[in-house]
Amino acid sequence: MDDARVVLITGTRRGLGRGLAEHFLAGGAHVIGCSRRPTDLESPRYRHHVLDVGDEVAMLEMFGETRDEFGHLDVLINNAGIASMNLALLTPTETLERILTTNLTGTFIACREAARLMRRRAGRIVNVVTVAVRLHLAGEAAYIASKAGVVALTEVLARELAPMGITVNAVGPGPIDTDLIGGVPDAAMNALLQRLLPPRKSTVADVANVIDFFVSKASDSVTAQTIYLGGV
Amino acid sequence: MTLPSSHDGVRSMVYEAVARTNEDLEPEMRIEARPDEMLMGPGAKLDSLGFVSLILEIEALAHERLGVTLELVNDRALSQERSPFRTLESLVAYVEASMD
Repeated sequence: MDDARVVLITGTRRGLGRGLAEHFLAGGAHVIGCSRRPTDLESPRYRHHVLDVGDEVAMLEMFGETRDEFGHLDVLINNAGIASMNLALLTPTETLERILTTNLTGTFIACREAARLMRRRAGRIVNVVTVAVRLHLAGEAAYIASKAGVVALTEVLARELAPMGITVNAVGPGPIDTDLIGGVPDAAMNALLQRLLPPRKSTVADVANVIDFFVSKASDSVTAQTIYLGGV
Repeated sequence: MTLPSSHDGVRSMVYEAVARTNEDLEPEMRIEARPDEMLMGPGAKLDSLGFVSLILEIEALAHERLGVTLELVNDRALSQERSPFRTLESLVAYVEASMD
């Protein structure tokens, strides 16, 4: 095995996760990705698992195969997430549970299993959250609650995993042109953008810039932090 | 690679996990590979991180050697009146029972 970093990213079929996978592949890393459906991303240094991050058995298999192939993990990026734009009064419990399972439970499982593969040689965990946690947007209660949970998880895990040399941080981008914001009406999107500095959507490059900082080997004392884009 | 099919086999696997754990511990926290070594409560030298490391090393060895996935810390273990994590010997017995 070469000395390239081993990076696991969830939700890599499309959007931000796909862009991050390509970003790390371009940097020479081995990348393990996953999504609920197959991908057309191909590289000799890319492995893809078809799974739901809320499915613990499937997640354990993915981390087990990573351990068997590489023996360790250097970077975990919890990107997979789902949203449902709806007022709380009209949000079915089933929808709430689905969002919590993917966004919070899936992130918890991934952090736990990643830390087991990182603890002997340090590591970096980055969780993707959202500016909506800070903006408290009406109509996104379930989604924001799940991501606020991820911010809290980030801060607690940072303390639990620090003795193992593992840092845990989060990045909160503004809206990115992906399926996740497909259901947001134009007027609501424009109102949101006017609250951001500068008033524009975030890009994969914006997020990758922050993640590169977090996962840098020089960032070993940067932990328990959430960096939001857009000046919120 | 032999299977730790006996109590002694499981004990030797747990003792190997002790040795691996000790590699990462400060000298005053290292534990001895002997049956009555305390793991929890009064007289225990391991801190919470050291205890976690020992459990993870045992689970990793069980997977490496036997292909067995153990989840040693669970509600059932934590609710037992006499904790299976008191001493190394009680831990060996608990690991052995978990493999059945």
